[in-house]
Amino acid sequence: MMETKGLTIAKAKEAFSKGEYTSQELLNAHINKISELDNKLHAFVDTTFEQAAESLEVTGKPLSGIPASIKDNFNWKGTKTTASSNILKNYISPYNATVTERLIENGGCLVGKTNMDAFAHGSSTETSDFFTTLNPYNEEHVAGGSSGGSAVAVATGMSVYAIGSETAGSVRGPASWCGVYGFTPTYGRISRYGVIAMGSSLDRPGVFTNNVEDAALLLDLLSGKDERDATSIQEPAMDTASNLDATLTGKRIGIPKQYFDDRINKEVIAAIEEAIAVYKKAGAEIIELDLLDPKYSIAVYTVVQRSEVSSNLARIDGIRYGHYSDIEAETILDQISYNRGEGFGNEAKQRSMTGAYTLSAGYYDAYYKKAQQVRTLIIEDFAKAFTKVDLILGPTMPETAPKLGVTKNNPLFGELADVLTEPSALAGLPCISIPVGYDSKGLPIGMQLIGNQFAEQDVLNAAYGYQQLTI
Amino acid sequence: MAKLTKDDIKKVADLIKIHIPEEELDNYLSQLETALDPVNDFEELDTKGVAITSQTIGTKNINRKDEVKPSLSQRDALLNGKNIKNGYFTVQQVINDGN
Repeated sequence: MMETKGLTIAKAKEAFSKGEYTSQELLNAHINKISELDNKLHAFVDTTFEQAAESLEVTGKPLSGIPASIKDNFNWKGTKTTASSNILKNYISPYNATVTERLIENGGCLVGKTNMDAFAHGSSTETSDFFTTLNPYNEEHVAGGSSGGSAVAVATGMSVYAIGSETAGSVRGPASWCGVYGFTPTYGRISRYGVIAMGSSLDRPGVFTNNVEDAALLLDLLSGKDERDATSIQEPAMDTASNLDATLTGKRIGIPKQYFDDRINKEVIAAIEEAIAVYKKAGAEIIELDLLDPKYSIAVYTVVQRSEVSSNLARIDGIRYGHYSDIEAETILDQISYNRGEGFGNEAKQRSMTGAYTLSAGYYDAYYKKAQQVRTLIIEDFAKAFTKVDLILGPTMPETAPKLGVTKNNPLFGELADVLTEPSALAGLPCISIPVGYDSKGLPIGMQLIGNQFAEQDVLNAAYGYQQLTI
Repeated sequence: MAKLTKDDIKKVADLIKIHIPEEELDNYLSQLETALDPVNDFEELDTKGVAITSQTIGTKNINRKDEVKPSLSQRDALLNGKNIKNGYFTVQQVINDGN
């Protein structure tokens, strides 16, 4: 039996062409891996082995025969798309998200839909309405979230690559805690059409991979203007994979001192400092940066995201789709109210209510408007930094994966865990989390690189440079 | 810390039409107060005259031609509704009969 863990798209294609194994055999190996591990780890909400097998009929495309998975908030026609929520437990997608469509056009072989915090509201998968995804490095710890299932699928060899989405740190965070690459491009680079919306001014599809080359290839295949998403960047698909350049000499890398203070775990800092030494030795110029305290991003993110959540979740009424209550209501508004009351979990209710409160008359200026103004300050702060540096480097998460149960009675767990990813998320910046080592408990540590808006190539190149020096 | 009351929670739940049983109001009250806690940090920042950001990458006024294109069929659009009759979603009577 071949080992699927750590496999990359290029390695699989090479094996196909050398006749080491067939795409059918590779798919079978992944199905076996899922059967072996997923009863315990719970990375998948649903498997789609039949569709994966059918996809093998199309050969010769960039992703043909490469087993992959997709987060359960991406619509995929004819499959259940639940966003790990009870209210959408039986929802069958009548259409494809642009990402799904582009995967399929490129030969995508999708083995399943991955678990997440319900509606992506969280950073652990503990708020999935179904079950918690466990960390493969230590099953007493969380995988991270919200795209935790996707991260675990790639970390364990249940998928070669996986699709996720990020609103604050939902790709970078679980990538960091599960020891894989997690890449999110500039806001608008990959279409949001057909992704169940959380915070529309923040949501960004992203990818989980076992190396930088795969992240670049997926960006090239998934990016490009989409007229069904009015916020999509009005440019053609990117061409980063063939332009990867590992040269680090002369690169100006900014180290924000606020990302290394006493709020960050010492073992995490030590691992990142070792990575910085790799860059320095390779000729990069290391420059200390003074950025706005990331604590302001927690406040901005809390308000903006919850406000947008309250608006986005209002589309789910249980009438056109979603859970329908058995309580006989007298009016349609009462019916909708019962449908939502029974269907939404605690987190969705809490966030919708908080958001409606911050948008309501009398509070709008103090909360929502103020948050939007501080968001401007954060964007300007980054813009100023990028006049001095090419990239910003720091830890992805302030600590390694915490123990299960950490989110209980903690309505701000996600916001606090994502403190180092929120500033760049609010500014829509391209970023990648790279696995750089382990702590004394054997849990993975991730380093993030953040680039200026539209500078995906710079981010991927600097990540590629590090990868080439450390593999 | 933001000071909210049980009435605020009731009002906001009614605004967004999510049924919250009376006995759960206190729980949500405490969750909302905690969630709004970080907002106190705003007081440290001067935002006088600062423009608001609602779109990060500067995309403006993306228009497309108003052309009819294939979209969801009636069958697909109704696929996920629980109460369907004659190609419609059925709901409680909205307009009363004058009584």
